Amino acid sequence: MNSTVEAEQLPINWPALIETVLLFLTGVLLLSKALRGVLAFYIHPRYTTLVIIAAVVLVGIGLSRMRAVFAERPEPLRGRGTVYALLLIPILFGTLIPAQPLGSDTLMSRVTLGSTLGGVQRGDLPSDDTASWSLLDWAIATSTDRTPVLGSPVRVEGFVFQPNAADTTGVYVARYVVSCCAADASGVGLPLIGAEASGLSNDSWIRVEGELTQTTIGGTQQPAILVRSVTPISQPVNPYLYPR
Amino acid sequence: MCWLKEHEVRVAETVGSFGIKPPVMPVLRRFAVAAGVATVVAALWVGSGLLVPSDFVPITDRLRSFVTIFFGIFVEALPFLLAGVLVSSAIHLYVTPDRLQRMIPRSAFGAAVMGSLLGLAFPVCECGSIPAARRLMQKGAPQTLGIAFVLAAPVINPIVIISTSVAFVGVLGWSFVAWRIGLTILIAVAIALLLGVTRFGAGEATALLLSNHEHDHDHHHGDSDDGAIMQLLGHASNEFFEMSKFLVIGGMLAAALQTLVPPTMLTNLGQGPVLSVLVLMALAVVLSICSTVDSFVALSFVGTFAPGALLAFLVFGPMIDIKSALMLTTTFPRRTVVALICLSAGLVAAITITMNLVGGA
Repeated sequence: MNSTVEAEQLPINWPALIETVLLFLTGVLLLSKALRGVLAFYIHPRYTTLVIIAAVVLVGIGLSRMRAVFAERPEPLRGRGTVYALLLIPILFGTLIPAQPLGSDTLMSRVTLGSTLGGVQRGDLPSDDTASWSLLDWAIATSTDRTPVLGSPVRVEGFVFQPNAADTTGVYVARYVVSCCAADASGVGLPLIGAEASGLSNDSWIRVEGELTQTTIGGTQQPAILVRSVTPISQPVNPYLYPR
Repeated sequence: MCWLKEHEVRVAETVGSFGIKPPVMPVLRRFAVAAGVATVVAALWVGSGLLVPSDFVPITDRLRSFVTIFFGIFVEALPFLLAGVLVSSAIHLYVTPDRLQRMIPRSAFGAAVMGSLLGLAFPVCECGSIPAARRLMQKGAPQTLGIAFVLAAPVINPIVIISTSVAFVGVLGWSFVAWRIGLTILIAVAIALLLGVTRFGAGEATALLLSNHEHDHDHHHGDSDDGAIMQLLGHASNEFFEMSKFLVIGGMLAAALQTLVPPTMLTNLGQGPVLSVLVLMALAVVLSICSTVDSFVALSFVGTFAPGALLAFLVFGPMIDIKSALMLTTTFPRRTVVALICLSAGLVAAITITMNLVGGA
């Protein structure tokens, strides 16, 4: 900086000003998402700290860029409009569109119906107490031939999913499994059998209690829940399940 | 497509000074910008759910899923991109061309091998490897080193080797982990040598592209009396803007593809020894997930897909996906990027399909 010229007398260096604002806004957006707890809608919670650090680094880069806002020779703005417009997109998306975890509308494209909802899942099962199993544990058990005996107790939480495909009917309790971020989400779930299962609306969160039974979907036998009770619950803090 | 135009114009301007007329189409460009702005505004309105007619509710849900997937990719990649940008900034400040020249082997083969192993020292994934490679090449590192580094670093680094081992040792054994590492090095070195010695490498065009960027970089900051951290951050700013635009475009393309072409449609497509490889390679491009975590995603394909196909997913995915392919255009001429994509796709497919056929899987 030229020490003989007061910063205020220098012309505004628009690229530096715009970049400072964009860097601050992106950093603040990430921090606010972390504070409001909605980062879990996008990424595995183990990355939360990393994202907070990234937000702080963004603000730091913004601070260092801020010192060039008044400059003797302003940088040309021409040709940078596209870059700035593109970086504005995540900021606008993040502020104007309410954060929402993946729901029933995308589940249809992320599961293979007909066989078990959830395809092949692997991993260890927590215990023999099937009442403590999550929907992911049930998917692991069924895809690794460790399905427990019929009548075993079931107690799971998830959202209501009613496939609208022509060849499938019924109601599922479903949940997404995320190993890294929403981009790799896959669905797991079990069909609900019984009178309690009717009249549920898509995407409402429920706790289902009942016992293991079997049903035929798409010509194949698959596990299902014979429902004893359905309790509406609020959306969990972590809407997704995570492989261990 | 305006970002490509943008890039084209800048390259064209450089070329223009050599007597070639830049191919600018102002009307078409203005139309593309207007259409882009209109789309974003419409998406923001429908997505916000404010005063949206009830007929549009399914579209609102779709859009919100799109935004969630986009943010998944964007937020996940941002810390790794920033790490790469800071590493690149540190190279800019602390590695002098002389020192670099002394460290790099003279032979093309030596440089390629060194490039493929450099990730062990600079742990960056695909978003970070490109800015780092670009900086190394600006400092005078040969193109063979740059290409090998870009292709191999996302896999050949401590974090990814550990995550691959954690995911696969219990399922497919150590040999699978060794295959991933070995195949990545082999392909990276092979492509680096092929492109480094043929006209596809286009050494001069790369130099031109890099010097053009270098020029951009030197506009602001030259305050050598700054603290080390301020200097590091000052250099990071420009690089961040240049790379993050591709993260935004790549993230949106991947999210759009995922919303329009369901991943299960791909996985349902093929199970044979040939088709399974091609399907998982396409999936790797569409998912655009970071190499630090792709092992855990691949784990869910065990049993459905042959090991060769999993290997194709884990070797090709880190080399090429939507966002990294776009980012590569900042560092290499488009001709080289196309050659890079085709060669790596071809080699990975050829080797893993052979594995599937020989292995009888």
